[in-house]
Amino acid sequence: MIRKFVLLLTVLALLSFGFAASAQDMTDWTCGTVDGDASAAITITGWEGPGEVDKFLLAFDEFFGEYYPNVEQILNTGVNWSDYWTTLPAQLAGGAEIDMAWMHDTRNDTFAANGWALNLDSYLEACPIPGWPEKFVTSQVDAFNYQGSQYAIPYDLAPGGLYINLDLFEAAGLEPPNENTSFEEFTELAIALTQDTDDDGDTDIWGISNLVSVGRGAGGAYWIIKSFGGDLFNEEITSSVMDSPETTAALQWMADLLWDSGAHPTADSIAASGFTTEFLFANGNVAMHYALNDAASRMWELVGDSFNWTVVPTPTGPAGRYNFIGGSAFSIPTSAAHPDLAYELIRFTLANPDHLCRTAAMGAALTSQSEFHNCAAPDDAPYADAYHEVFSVIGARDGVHPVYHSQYLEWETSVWISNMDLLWTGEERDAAVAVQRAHEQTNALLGG
Amino acid sequence: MDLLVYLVLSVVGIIFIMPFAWMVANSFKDIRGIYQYPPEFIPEVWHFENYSEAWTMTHFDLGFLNSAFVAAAVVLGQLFTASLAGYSFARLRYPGRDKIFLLYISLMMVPFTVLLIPLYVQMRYFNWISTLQAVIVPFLFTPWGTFMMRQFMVTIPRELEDAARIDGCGFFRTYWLIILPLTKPALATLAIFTFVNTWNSFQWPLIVLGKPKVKTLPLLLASFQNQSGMRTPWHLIMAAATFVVIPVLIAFVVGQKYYVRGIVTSGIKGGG
Repeated sequence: MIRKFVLLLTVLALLSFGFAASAQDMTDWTCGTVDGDASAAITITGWEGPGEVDKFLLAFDEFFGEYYPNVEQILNTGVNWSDYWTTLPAQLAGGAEIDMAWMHDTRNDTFAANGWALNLDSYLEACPIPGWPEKFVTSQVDAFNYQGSQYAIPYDLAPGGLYINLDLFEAAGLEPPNENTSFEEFTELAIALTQDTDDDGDTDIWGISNLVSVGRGAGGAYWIIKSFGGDLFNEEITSSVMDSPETTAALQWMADLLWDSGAHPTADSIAASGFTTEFLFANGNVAMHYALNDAASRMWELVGDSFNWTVVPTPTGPAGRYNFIGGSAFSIPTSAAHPDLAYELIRFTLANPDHLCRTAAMGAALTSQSEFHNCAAPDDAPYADAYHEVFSVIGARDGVHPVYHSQYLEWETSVWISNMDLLWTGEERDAAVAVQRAHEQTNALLGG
Repeated sequence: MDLLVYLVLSVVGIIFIMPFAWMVANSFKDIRGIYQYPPEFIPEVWHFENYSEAWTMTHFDLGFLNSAFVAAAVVLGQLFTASLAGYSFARLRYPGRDKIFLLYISLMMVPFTVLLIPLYVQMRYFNWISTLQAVIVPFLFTPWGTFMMRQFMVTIPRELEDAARIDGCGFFRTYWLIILPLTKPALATLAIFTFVNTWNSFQWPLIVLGKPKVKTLPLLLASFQNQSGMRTPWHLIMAAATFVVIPVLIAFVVGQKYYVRGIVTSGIKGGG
């Protein structure tokens, strides 16, 4: 009798615990500041189109369907990247009532400094995001922190890596690089794989592509600069440190791939081929192609069964191993009409474990919470095994990007691109000359 | 000599037609055909389905209606306001007329980019964000059109107005019954320029039209780049660009002589 009574009590206790837990789940995703019956129209804008935005739209629908059935979503997604960044500042400067906006790490500080993005610290304190910040990739949390305050919550990360044509390596009798491969060894590999297959004097297969690109921002070179022990700005972002021998050596290494060894296609040779470097790799004209993780699914589609390929980490420099990492986030503009609702939506979308695996599996980027990275690459993908190790383990661990300070965008266009393009187009072959000019212009801009 | 001129003009004509012809040719290829090297001008296999796929991929039917409505409203509005203002500046005598005219046409010197934020604030004040009024009302008045109408109207013999006045016509009836019919060539020129500009207008609609159901064709065309995940569906973009450009092409073919006359009259290709 006593045993039955204890059993009954245990069952009742478990049931009540279960109910309590599920009731807790029901209320966890709202912060109690918005009336559940509220009628409102929430305006959301972003650059991602179908394929990348759908995973979020599913979460949005679930959130509003569950908690705020009377809220209408006004979605303006799929705006072109460049159009987005000319349109959004104009709209926000005009007081647009946009409640939630896609934000990029390169722009966060500019938007925060101009007072266009809402400081989320008080929201994070009053209604913490479960797992924040310990479960989120640290570099992405930091990327949206401006002067000690959080201005956006990251939703993804995109580390860089190398896409490898295994058939070309096998034919040359070479082993693909790994995370311990030095830049010298990497250069030797790239040179050994570069071939003029028809002996007409023109390169037909390049060892490496897409490490250098005309018009590209500093993020593409920063991880190499860090690997060589250099940097761009001092810690206070008041002056340039670009004139260091390490920064110069890193940039000279990049220029030499183009003009010394010829292991990397120049802008002219890419234009003459009629392809992008991604297509050159997919066509078997490149042995190693540098790209972010989000190119993997696209590459799978492009390469098909043409050859065997995989992904490997970028090389290690004399100052250690680094790779580029970038990412995006959700922010709330200061002129938002419904900031509380927008915050709850972001919180639900980026922290609810019930749908984060689905989010990771849809689209091309890795989720900002690393424990869901295993859901990212399909099991039948040729790159599935290597993908997790290269991008979500090593890539997230060693990820760096320049400090995107509030003058960064101006600096990147007026100083970095204008000087470094001289190296990438061959107008200047000596990195020290381009670096010295960029150094002086950077100091003039920063007042250093 | 004539042969040489024709030869040179033909070569220049072909150079100008090539991008358009390339767009049409690519609109019938698949994505691999677009990137094929060496490129082929005539597709091996004609993919007519690109057009139906492009049409159904986004709300092009609604976009066409929005663009047509906006273009019609702006054209009619500009014809009315520019001709009325042009008549006033050409014919009426009142203190400061020429100074006001100069002030008005000097607005042509103000880049539209400078007006973006103030105009956005105004639209927000009127609660017109994401409504078609926001892309119609600010463009109902045109300094360039007014300038062109005035230049045309000063060439109309004054005796015709005098005769109308003797017959009892007031200002507005003279304008409506005598002047307006005589300015048909200028009105046609203004209509064509305005239609082409409004139909192709991108920057302002991009900023002010956020809701999908009010978007005009250029916005839908631009958003096509992001419609297919990480890969840009150039073959579908080319198909969409082809049917978006057809109304402009018709307008140009129908009113070609007015288009050329407009450039000759005003010295400006297109106005604000």
